[in-house]
Amino acid sequence: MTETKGMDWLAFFRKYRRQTTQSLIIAIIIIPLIRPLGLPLPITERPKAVYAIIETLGPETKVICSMNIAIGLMGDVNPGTIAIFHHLFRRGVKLYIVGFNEDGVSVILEPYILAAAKPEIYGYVYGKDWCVLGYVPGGTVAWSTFAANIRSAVQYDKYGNYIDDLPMMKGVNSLNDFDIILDCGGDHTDIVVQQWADPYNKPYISSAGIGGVTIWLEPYFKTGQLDGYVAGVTQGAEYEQLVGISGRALSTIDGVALSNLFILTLVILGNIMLFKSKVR
Amino acid sequence: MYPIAIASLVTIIFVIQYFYPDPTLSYMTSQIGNWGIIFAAYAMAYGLVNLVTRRAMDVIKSRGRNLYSLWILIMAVVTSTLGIFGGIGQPQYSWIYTFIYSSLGATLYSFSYLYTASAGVRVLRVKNLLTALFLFGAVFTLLGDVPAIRSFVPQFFDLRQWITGELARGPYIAFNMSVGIGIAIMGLRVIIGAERRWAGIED
Repeated sequence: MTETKGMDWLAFFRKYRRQTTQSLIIAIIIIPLIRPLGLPLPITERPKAVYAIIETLGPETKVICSMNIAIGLMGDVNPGTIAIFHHLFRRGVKLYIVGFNEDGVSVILEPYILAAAKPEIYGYVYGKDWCVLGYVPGGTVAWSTFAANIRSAVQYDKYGNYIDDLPMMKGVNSLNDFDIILDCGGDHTDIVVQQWADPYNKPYISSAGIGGVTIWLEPYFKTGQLDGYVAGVTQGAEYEQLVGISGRALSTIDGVALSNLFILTLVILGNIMLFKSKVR
Repeated sequence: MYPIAIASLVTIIFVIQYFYPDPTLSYMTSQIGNWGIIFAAYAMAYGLVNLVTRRAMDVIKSRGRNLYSLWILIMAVVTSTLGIFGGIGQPQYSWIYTFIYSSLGATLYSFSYLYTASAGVRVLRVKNLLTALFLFGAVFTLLGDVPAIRSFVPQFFDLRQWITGELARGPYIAFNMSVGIGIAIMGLRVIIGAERRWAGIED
């Protein structure tokens, strides 16, 4: 009787495999959001590298930030980016933000990144301590042109101010005038290395999605062309711990961990069942 | 013929400037870069015209996608009107971006995660040696990705780093080299006028 009941459940799972898997994953992600489990979170080397670099920066440091987060990757990239922004504001650096994709500066920057990182609470004044140079279309050519001569690519900031009217733009003409590159998004690592970091010999850190680690970030980190990165919501949570803020990543990390474990369990169970059916 | 000649000339200027930096050539490449940015901005407007034309034809000729096409047209007109006349800082325009566009984008990405999870469960089955290796790679990468697991067994994270960093690096470098060689060959074909498909000219 028990075996028949067990078989029924198995038959049900086989019939509605996709629906059951997806419903359970949704439940596993939502439950820790309501009741956090406080699972341990060891901090890995890559976020530590970014933290160590930003700790060396000061009020005289000029940071050029290419904001290229794709709208679909917000959940994965935003937490790490917000934590990095908090850290940069805390160090008092001059922050210049520019976008090379449609979403970053136009859609994501203000309602998601700046609304959470809040430059004003660190005493930042627009035009003096931070500025948004808008969206520059044109792909690789736009990156290259901006780096060689900022004013040939951008003449007005996102809010319509002439960039020469911004006090912090005085003496800033090309990528040579910045001290460090921060790329948010991670999809353009190849271009940043080829057009900015290598030709202008600038330190380069990145806030990216977990999907880009293997193919974009880690190979460049190994060769020293990328000095550090924070990838995905897990490393975002690690960076939140490093900076000492309680952001969105720390509240979601339990769900991410449990969903990964759940998928792993399903994979192992599936293979055991496959093996058993072959033996029979 | 003119587009091919222009492309050849521009490519040659960029190549020479890369190997022999000269103020005149730098100025020329900078100007060409500016044109590129202007053309890219123009391409967006052209894309909008193309979208409106195609979708309007769908609606007029009743191609079975009437509702979707009509909705795209309505949203294109509303968003463009708000953006052009009110600016991108206008509250209604921001509302569309924040509460419709970004929410839908995030939702689609979340769907892809759910489908990837259920597809992963179906794909990761041991059928032969190669699928077994694939499975072990995936299992250790997943184990290394779970912070709670790696806090108890840090070796899982080291193994994950080795898989994603070292094991995947070789094929990635080979892939990148082949892409680089392909781009160089394509560039040479553009310079000598042998590659003309980008201009709509079939051999």
